[in-house]
Amino acid sequence: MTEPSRSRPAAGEGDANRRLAEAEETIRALVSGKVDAILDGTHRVPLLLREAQSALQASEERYRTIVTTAAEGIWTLDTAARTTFVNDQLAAMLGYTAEEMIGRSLYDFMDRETRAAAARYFMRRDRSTGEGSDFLLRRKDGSALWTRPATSPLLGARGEFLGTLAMVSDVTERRRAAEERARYVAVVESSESAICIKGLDGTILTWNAGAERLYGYRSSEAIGRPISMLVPPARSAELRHILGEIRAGRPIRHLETVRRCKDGTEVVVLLSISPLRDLDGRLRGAAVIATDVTELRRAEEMQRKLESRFRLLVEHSVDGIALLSPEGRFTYASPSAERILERPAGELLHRQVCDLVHPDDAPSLREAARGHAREPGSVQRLELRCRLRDGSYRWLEASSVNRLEDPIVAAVVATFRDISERRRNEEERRRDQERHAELEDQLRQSQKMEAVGRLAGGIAHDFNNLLTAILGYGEILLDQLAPDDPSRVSVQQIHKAGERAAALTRQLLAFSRRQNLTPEVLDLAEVIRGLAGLIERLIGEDVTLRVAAAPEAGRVEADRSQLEQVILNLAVNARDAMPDGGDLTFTLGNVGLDEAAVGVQAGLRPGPHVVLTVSDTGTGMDAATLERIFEPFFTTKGPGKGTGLGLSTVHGIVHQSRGSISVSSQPGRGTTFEIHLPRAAAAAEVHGAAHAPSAAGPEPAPGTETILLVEDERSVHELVREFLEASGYTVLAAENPAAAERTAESYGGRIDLLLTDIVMPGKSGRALADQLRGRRPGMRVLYMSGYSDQILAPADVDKNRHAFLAKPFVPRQLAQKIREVLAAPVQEEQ
Amino acid sequence: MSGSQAPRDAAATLSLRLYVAGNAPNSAAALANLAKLFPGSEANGPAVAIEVVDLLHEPSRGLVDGVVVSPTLVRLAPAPVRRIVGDLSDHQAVLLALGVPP
Repeated sequence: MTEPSRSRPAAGEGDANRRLAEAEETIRALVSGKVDAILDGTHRVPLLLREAQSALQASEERYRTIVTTAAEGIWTLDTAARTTFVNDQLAAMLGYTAEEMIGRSLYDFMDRETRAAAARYFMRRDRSTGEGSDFLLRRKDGSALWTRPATSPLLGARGEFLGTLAMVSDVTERRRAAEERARYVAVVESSESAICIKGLDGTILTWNAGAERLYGYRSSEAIGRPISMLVPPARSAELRHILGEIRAGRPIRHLETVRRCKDGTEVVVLLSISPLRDLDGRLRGAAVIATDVTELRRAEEMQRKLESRFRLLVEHSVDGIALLSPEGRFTYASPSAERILERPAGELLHRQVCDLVHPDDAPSLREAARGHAREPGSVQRLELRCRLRDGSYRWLEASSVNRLEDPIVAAVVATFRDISERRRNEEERRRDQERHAELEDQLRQSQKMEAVGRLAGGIAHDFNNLLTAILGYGEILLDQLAPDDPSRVSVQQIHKAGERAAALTRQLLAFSRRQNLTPEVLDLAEVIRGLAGLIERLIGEDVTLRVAAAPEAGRVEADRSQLEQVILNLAVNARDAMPDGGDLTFTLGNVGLDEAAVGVQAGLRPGPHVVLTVSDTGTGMDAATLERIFEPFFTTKGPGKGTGLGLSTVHGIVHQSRGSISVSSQPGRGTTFEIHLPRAAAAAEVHGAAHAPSAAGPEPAPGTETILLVEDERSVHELVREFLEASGYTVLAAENPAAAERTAESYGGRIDLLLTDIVMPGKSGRALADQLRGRRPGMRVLYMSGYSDQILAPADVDKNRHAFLAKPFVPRQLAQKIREVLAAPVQEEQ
Repeated sequence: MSGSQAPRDAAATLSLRLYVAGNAPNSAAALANLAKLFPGSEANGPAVAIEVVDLLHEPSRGLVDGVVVSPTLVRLAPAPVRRIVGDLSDHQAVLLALGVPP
C-alpha cells in the first residue's frame, strides 16, 4: 500500500523487528510530546500535533485520514473500548474491512482469557507508554494473530480521557520464529549430548548444558576458548583433520575419539560434526554434537571381558566341552575336547556322536538322548568308549544337558573327561582282588591238603608197620609150608591182600608227600614217549593219543617212577572222562615264571619251568568238582572203579617235586591239567630210557655180621629180628634208642650195621646213628621208615652210608638192602 | 534499495535526512541536537551528509520515506534505512541507533 514499505530492503525478520521498534519509538515520541506533527498522506499536509488533537475532537473523519497510511495498524477506541477507527492495515491483519470493525468492542477480537489483561493495557488513562506485551487477537476466520500493540491514551484539551490510540504490529511470524528458535534451544539445552558450535578457527561459540555436564566447563568458561582445550595432545592431528574437513564443508559422522574434561579425565565420545553456513552460504563454523559413550564402551569392554573369560574357561577347561545339535552332531568342540577325542575340531564338526562311540555303548547313548527328550532339564551321565583315530577306544565319563530351548545356547551341552586311567586302575584293583581271592583259595586248599596229607601220612606209618609184620610173617610162613600144604593158598591170599594194602599205603604216602623219592634229571619227553605204548593200551582204541613236545623242552629233576605214575594217572582219568572216545593230548613246553606268575601257582618259585599239559576232550567237570578234585578219597567214579587217590597222588608227587599242578575244566568242554616243574640245570647225566625195575634179585647170601636193630614197633621188631637171626646175622635188639645206646655201650664186639627206625620215642634214628657212629666209625647205617621225613635229608640217604628202606618191606628186600649196604665200601667220616 | 531517493555516497558515508515541521519546538531542538552531534559536518565533506526537509514545504517527501511524524531523522546510508523519531536530545541513543561509534 505504501511506498516506503516497498522501498525497504527485502522483508525479513530483522526488518520487521526494526519496523516494530520504530513504531514503538514513534509512539513513545508521541506520548512524550516530542513530536511536532503527524504526516497524513491523503491530505499531503503535515498535521501539526496541536491542530491534530483539536481536529480529532472536531472531525473524526479527518483524524482517520492521518493514520490510514501508516505501516502499522492503527486502532482507536473510545472510553468503552469500542472501535472508533482502524486503518486498512489493521483491518487487513484481522481479516475484516475497516467498516466491519467500527463500533465493535476491542474484546470481540480476542479470547475471553485475554480480555482482562487487554482492558488494563488498552484502557490505561495515564500517559505512560504500554509496551512489551504480546496480545493474542482472533482473526475473522478464528485463526490466531499475535500482536504487539503500543498504546497511548487520547486526552482532551483539559486532560480528560477520550479513548486509546494503539499502534499494532503483527508479530505472529516473529513469535513463530521465536518459538521455533526456542524449541531448538530447548532441544539443544535439554539434550544429553554435548552440543556446541565452533568457528572455523575452532573457537567455541555456543555451549549447551550437555556440554557443561560432559566436559565440566561452564558455558561461560568455554565460550570464546579454543576447542583444542578438549583434545588430548596426542590427538592434535585428529583435530587438525576435523578443522580441515569443516573448512572443506564436509560433515563428519560418528567419529569415536577421546576428549579431555576440565578435571583431566578422559571420556570416549562419538562426534557428529556439521559445517554451518550463513544465509549467504558462507561457511561460518560447525555444530559439534558429542555423545558420551564412555560407559557404553566400558560396559562393552566388560561384556567382552566377561565373554572372553567364559570363552577362556571353556577353552582351558580340562574337561572336553562340546555342543551338539538336536540330531547329535557336533556344532562346537573345545580345545580340550579335541585333545581328549584326539581329533581336530574340523573333523568333529557336523559329525554324529554315534559315529565315534563304541557299538556296545550306543544303547546307553540313545538312552541319554531319550532322557533329554523326556526331561529337558535333566543332566544325563554316562560312561562310554570313544573311538580314536587309530581305531582304539578311550573311556570317557560324559554328562550332558539339554539347552536346545535356550535361545543363547540352542544346543545339547556335553562335557566329558578321559577316565581310561581310572578304568585301568579299577580293572587292576578288580584283578588284584581276584588274584588275592585265588591265592586265598589256594592257601586254603593247600592247608587242607596239608592237613589231610598229615593224617594220611600218620595212618600210613602205622599201617606200614602192621603191613611189614603181616607181609613178613606171611612170607616166612610161606617159606615154611610145604609146596602142597593146603593152607598155602590161604596164606598166599593173606600175603596178597597185605601187598594191596601196602600199595594203597604207598599211594597215601605219595599224596602226603612223605614218600622217599629218588630224583634224577629226566627228559620228560622221553619219559612220555617211553610210556606211549602203555598209555595207548590203557586208553583204548576210541581215544587218540597226541604228544606235542617242543624240541628243546627242558629237563626236570624228579623221581622217574613217580613221574610215570603221574602221567599214567592222568591218562587213566582222561580215558574215564571220554567213554565215547576223543583226544588225549600231552603238550610239553618251556616257560619262564616271574614273581607274578608263581604267585598264583602255590609252591612254585620264579625261574624257568617245564610245562606239561594234559588235556582231554571229555565230559569235563563243574566248579564244585574242580574244587575237590585233588582231595584224597574224592572220586566221581562209581564204586569199585577208583580209590579216590589217583589225583591226590599226582598232586602229592608234583608238589614234592617242587612243582605245581592246576586244572581247568568246564562241563562238556573237556579238562586240562597243567603241571609246572622247575627246569633242571644242565645235568651231567640224563636218564631217559627206563632203567631195569628192581625186580626180585638173586637170593641174598647168608649173613655173618652183627647188626644192632632198633625198632619200637613190636611186631616189626620181632619179625626183623627173627628174620635176621634166621639169615645168620648176630642181632643186638633194642626197642628204643636209649636201650640201643646201652647195648652198644656194653657190647664189646664189632657192630657192622645199625638198622634203625627213624621215628621213635625219645630220640630219632638219625640222632642215634650220629651218636653211635662217633664211637664206631666203621658201622654202617640202614634206616627203615613208614615215611621218608624231613628228618632225613635226601643227601644223607646216599652213598650207602645212610641207606634207607621204606616200610613195608618183605624180608627178601631187607636182606638185599642189608647186603648192599654191607658190601659198599666204608667211607670214613670227617 | 531500489526506488530509494536517498543520496548514494560511498559505503562508508553516513547519509542522514532530518524531517522537520517548520520551526516547531521539537523540530528546532532536533536540528540543534543534530548540529551538536555532527559539528562542522559540512566542512568534513562527505563523511556525514545531512539533508533537512521541512514537511511543511515538502510533505510528499516524508511519505516517500515512510515518515509518520516530525521530527524524524532518517538514516539513508549505510543500509538498512533507520528512523529516529523525536528531538534527538538523547545523544547516546541517537548515535547508537545510527550505528556511529561514540
